[in-house]
Amino acid sequence: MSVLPAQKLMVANRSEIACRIFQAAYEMGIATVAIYAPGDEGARHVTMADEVAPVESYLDAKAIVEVAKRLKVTMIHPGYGFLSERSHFAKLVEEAGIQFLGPKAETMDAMGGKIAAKEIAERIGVPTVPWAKLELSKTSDAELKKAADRVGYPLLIKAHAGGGGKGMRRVDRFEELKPQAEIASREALNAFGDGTLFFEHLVEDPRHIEVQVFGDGTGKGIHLFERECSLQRRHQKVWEEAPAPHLSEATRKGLFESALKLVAETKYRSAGTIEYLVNAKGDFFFIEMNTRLQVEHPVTEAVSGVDLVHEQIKLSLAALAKQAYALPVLSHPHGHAIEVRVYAEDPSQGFIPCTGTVNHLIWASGPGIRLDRGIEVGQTMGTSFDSMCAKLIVSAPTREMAIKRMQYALRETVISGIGTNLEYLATIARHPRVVEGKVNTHFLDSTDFPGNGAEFSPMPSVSEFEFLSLAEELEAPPASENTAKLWQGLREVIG
Amino acid sequence: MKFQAKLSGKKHEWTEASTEARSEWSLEKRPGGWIVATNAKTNERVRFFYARAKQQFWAKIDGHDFFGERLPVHREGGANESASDFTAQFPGKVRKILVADGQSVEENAPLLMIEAMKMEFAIKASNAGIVKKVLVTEGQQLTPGQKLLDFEDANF
Repeated sequence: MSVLPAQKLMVANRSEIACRIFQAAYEMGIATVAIYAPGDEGARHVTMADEVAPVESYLDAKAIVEVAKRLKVTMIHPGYGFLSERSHFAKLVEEAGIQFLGPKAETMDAMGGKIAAKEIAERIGVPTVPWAKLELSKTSDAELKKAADRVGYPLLIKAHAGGGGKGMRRVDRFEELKPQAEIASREALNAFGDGTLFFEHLVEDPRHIEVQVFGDGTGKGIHLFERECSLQRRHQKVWEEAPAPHLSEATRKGLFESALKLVAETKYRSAGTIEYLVNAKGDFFFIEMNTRLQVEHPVTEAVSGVDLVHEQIKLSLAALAKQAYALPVLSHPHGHAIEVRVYAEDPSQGFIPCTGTVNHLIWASGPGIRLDRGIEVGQTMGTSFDSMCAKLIVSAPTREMAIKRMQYALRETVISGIGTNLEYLATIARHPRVVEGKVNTHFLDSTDFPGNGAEFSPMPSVSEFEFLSLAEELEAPPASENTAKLWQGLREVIG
Repeated sequence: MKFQAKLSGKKHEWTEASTEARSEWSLEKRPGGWIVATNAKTNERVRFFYARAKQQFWAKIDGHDFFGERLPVHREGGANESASDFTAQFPGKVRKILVADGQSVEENAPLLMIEAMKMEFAIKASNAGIVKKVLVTEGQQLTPGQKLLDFEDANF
């Protein structure tokens, strides 16, 4: 590569993903800039960077680009969430002459809207879930009924701007469609400021399988195999793995081919994900494209051997040097990888986010264990941001061993000072259905799993309580040995 | 002094270790915060973790994680204000009020629905008792530390 001036990379994000990107920048000899919003002064990612700057909000695109210009930043990585899929941010970054480590703004516009993305997919022959627009004010009842019949019951009403299950409603009969749509529209308007709806055929007991792609921006691209993300609690992924277990080669081939069609059609640049629903027969339906690096990207890195953030940076460096970028060449995945998301939350109280100061951390380490974390001992977890504090990723030659390894990694990990979902994750890792790999997107919320996604209440046994009492006494021994004996006598007398 | 463990929103008796347990198991603090208990009779070893900050505790025993509160048991007799204060933990909005002033409720009965961080949560009664007064209204924005209701605990 020709000699480029020294580069400087800003991460317009926080927590574990910022830390993970800083590692890649360090490895590639690139200086780093962190930003932090109020509430994040003590966060781990702020300590790691070469330069730091405060911002009012991680969503303040203008201010973030201003800081980047002032600090002579040459690349911005948006991470996931926040501004990562806002095309106006990507546009602002590139107008400032800064490389955006993600897709082009126009791709986000084209693929970011769920409806527009479906239309593109249909045009190029990628199977989509049958769907229709839902515009109550513009459609007659007869037209609506016809559309619903064509799509096929049960229906699922969805918000155009949606995510996280907001604005989603199941409809089994035509009579329910309008009243449910009104509720969904209000909910979507409140949550996203956009009440636009559509409805689609509800694929029953589906698996959520997605394909990681990487494009060079000219239409050439590769897929980096698939991920199974069916283990979701209330539409939030908690456990992701690669490759997907029990997937026929025909389905897998179909997924990869259609993913590559979408990459070519959109001339996709950088890392992206094509999400599908797969039914029990192995039929697959495109649902949406995520135009960003995803939370669960490490499982793909583990089985492909490709560092996705390195590739994003290399692609930008090639663009700056006006040189060709060579896509990684892959043949097949190696082994199996699983990721779990560690949240600061209390599963026993409806998974309510937990606040507090981390006072002890013991992280699992050893062969095949990776930890991407955003917290340190002494760091305070507030409520201003998402409560995910770390991701634990394991990889092993087989799925069976990867599950054992995940059980081990969770067993070795200790977090105190804040409540976490560690026991919930360990229960998932031990569950026979998970061990078999026979799950769908409803599993964690169903009565087949403890707490059915609403409340999960682990309880110590009597003997476990006794250990806790002994541990208490280790810190503060009871009054004296004699007192204990005295009480012992008394107990015997009382019987 | 007797203690209660408040785990998963429910209270449990937490007695001192039994004499048998004390005589059979010897505990050793290990580097890293671990504790190893060894049984003198059987040579069984159990590794666990236990940490406390004020009333809260975190434990990991044989791969199982627990966290909750260790609460002293109050003296018998006389109605008392509940130890659990019904205050907002973070900014949010009151979605629905499910009880009226003066209403008796069972332990774990949902009292209020709160919307925070794009999710809905139920505020539940930590014990059976009487809702003396609801201090918020539906739709009201909450700031952290704001008291939600006055509650008289039947157990104290």
